[in-house]
Amino acid sequence: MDLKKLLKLEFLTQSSVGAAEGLGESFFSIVATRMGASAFIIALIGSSAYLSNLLSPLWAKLSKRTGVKWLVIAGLGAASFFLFSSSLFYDPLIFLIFVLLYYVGYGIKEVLYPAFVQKVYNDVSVLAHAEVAYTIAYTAAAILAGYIMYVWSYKIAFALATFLLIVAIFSRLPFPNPRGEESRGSLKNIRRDKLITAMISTFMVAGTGMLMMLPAIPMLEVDTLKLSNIQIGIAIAANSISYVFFAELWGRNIRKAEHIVRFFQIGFLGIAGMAIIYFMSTAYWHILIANVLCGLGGSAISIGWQSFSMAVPEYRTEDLSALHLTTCGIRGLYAPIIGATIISMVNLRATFLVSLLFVLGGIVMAEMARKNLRESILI
Amino acid sequence: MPRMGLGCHGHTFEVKDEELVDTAEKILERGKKLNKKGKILIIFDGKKVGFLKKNAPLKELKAGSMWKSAMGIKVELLWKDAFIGALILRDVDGLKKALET
Repeated sequence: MDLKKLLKLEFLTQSSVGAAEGLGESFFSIVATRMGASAFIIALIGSSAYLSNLLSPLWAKLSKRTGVKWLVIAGLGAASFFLFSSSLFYDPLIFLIFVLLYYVGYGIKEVLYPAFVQKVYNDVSVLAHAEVAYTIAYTAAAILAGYIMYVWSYKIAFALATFLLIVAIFSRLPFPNPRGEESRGSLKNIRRDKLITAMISTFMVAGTGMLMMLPAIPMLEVDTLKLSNIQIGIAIAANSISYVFFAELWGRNIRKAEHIVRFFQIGFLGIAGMAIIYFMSTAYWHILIANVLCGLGGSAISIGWQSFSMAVPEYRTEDLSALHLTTCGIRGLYAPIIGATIISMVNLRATFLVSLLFVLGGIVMAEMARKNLRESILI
Repeated sequence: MPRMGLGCHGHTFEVKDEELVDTAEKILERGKKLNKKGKILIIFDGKKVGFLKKNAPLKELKAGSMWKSAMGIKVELLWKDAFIGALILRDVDGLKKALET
């Protein structure tokens, strides 16, 4: 099949998975909260999404044997099965198990997507349009999901998401099946020098604070503020639009190595602002602003790390990307549990204050890491 | 990734460009090494364009993966098939002009 036809199918795949994510996984923690799940179960649902980061070396190794395409298809197939299954039982614990299994399958696609793209397309810049399609589909689907859940049930939204994942599977079938590479990035090649220690410490502190909020956010939106799913769907869409807008803005403005730490700090400030607003929130529009700040902060951190990994000549870009994904995965597993513990032992809003302290600590630590970064990058 | 991706997502993609490989190899041919405070820098046209982890002969280096960011192009350098450092090409057009002269 020629490249033009494959690109059309890429467009279809990306739109389908984007819409499936908007209809399904973007509401996982909200659905669990409405089921009456405990803070710990909601925290574990938040953590599940980060499991794929830690499983990535396994999928890379397996893709060497099976080929990337078939492993991605198997992962999407498993994800669609577990997503649909999750809607059949109205029990928080069973829901958590299916969500966990969903992320194990769906994570394969996330991990192998760059390898797949690079082996199929010579010019990856053409994929920018497919990513736009993904974002538009995700944003629109999140609003639609809120409406469907408000009028009918989350089960209908999850069934539609399942169907879209199956569409994504069929649209991937005509693609070639490139073999994966085991060594796309490894922590073995990372030394514990001053720069790496400073960056990892900064991100572990700030990131712990950020991810601590994962169980508190749906509980505040659903139980305290009594928001409807339509309102939450619009907030998710606002977050997504903000992320894309600011990612574009940061991408155009990051020109010098010194900017990288500033971008991290802007990102942490955005997330700190979000924590303050969630802590004080009493109205829906507060939640909308908090979500815009979340998109602003998240995009600055993502673009900042991408630029960092491509600007440090001492390390391979893929090794630095692997370092970020792995450390994200580690804090994604424990930080939401800390959040749930604070909710249980103190109260819901206190989680945002503790989170704020961690994120502010990250801003100070980033400032201290600046010198090390300048020495490493300004070659 | 859930709504609160919080900076934990985003993919990086390699650049595949034969012309860039050619430019990088020419820079390595004509570049010089400079040992500055224990760091081995690669100098071309009076500018710092790269860094090496070990003191390897520039002519034996090969261009490996390439990555494009807003700050320029990173060309990873291989010596005996192992990563040894990178070129950071901020102004590719300017470097190409310098190579022509």
